[in-house]
Amino acid sequence: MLMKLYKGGVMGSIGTRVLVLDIGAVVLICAVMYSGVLPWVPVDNFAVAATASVVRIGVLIAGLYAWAKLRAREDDTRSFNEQLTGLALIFTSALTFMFFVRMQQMGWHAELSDHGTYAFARDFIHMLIAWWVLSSILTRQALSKLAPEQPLEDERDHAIIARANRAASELLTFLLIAIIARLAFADGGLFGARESSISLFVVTPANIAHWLIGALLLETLVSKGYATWLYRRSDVSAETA
Amino acid sequence: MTTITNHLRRLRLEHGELTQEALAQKCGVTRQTIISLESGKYMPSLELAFKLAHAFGVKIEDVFVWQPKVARPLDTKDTNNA
Repeated sequence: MLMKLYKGGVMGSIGTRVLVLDIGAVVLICAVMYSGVLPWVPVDNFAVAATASVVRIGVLIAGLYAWAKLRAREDDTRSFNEQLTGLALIFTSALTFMFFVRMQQMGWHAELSDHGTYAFARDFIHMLIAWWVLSSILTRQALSKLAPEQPLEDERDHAIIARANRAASELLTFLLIAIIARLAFADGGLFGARESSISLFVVTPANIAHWLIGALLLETLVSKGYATWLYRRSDVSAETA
Repeated sequence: MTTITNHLRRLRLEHGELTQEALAQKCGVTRQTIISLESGKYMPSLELAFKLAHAFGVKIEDVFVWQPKVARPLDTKDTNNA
């Protein structure tokens, strides 16, 4: 049904307002469900799974909306990479939001043996698979429309991506240093109390894993966000790559 | 702000109103890159600059123009005081 509407170009005529409302609704639903402010919506296993499903489907629809809307423009001034980067930003934002809100609630030391954590991890992976499938389909569609001598991406795309990746890797370095510093001050760490009554805080392997995942998500988010901004600004030089 | 401008739009019109799409295909880039070049928002690599010049059959300086920043004159106040 969705693809039928998409192919028919109906979504393209819906406009920016619906797209913004759709994304806003997804984020709002996610925020409300995860925040625990609604006492009748406990954040138990079922709620986690249900919320993740809503987010997953909502973001997928938002992605298709965005794509259909951009492709429907007659004077398409956005390159395929720019559009794909925009979609990636939506997906990464949703994933990052889901991850950080849920991790904050679980205290950053959730174990996979817990059913709620398992359901969340499963939905997280589903989102990644959904993104991979969607981007593969869109890339294949875009390639089929191009002339043989026309590239899907060129030096301008490479310059923008390289600049965004450089900024993101700088952030990742900073985050890794922050994690190392935190570990140093943990119980048993370089500056932490060892076998004494004064325990700063305990770090588990799950903690470290979650911090690293969070750092990677933030790096991806900054990379996609900065690339989207550079595409919009489009004030780039090939020499900056 | 870049000090290099180009005459891509004029050259396209002079060459039988060559479309952005056709020029992009000739140079092996996307149409959006040609749009960015024409609007002065993107500085191409040297290779692409040569490709563009070659596509029009002109020299590179006929496509791109470097406008050096006008050097400010020396502070006459200092020289007068000296």
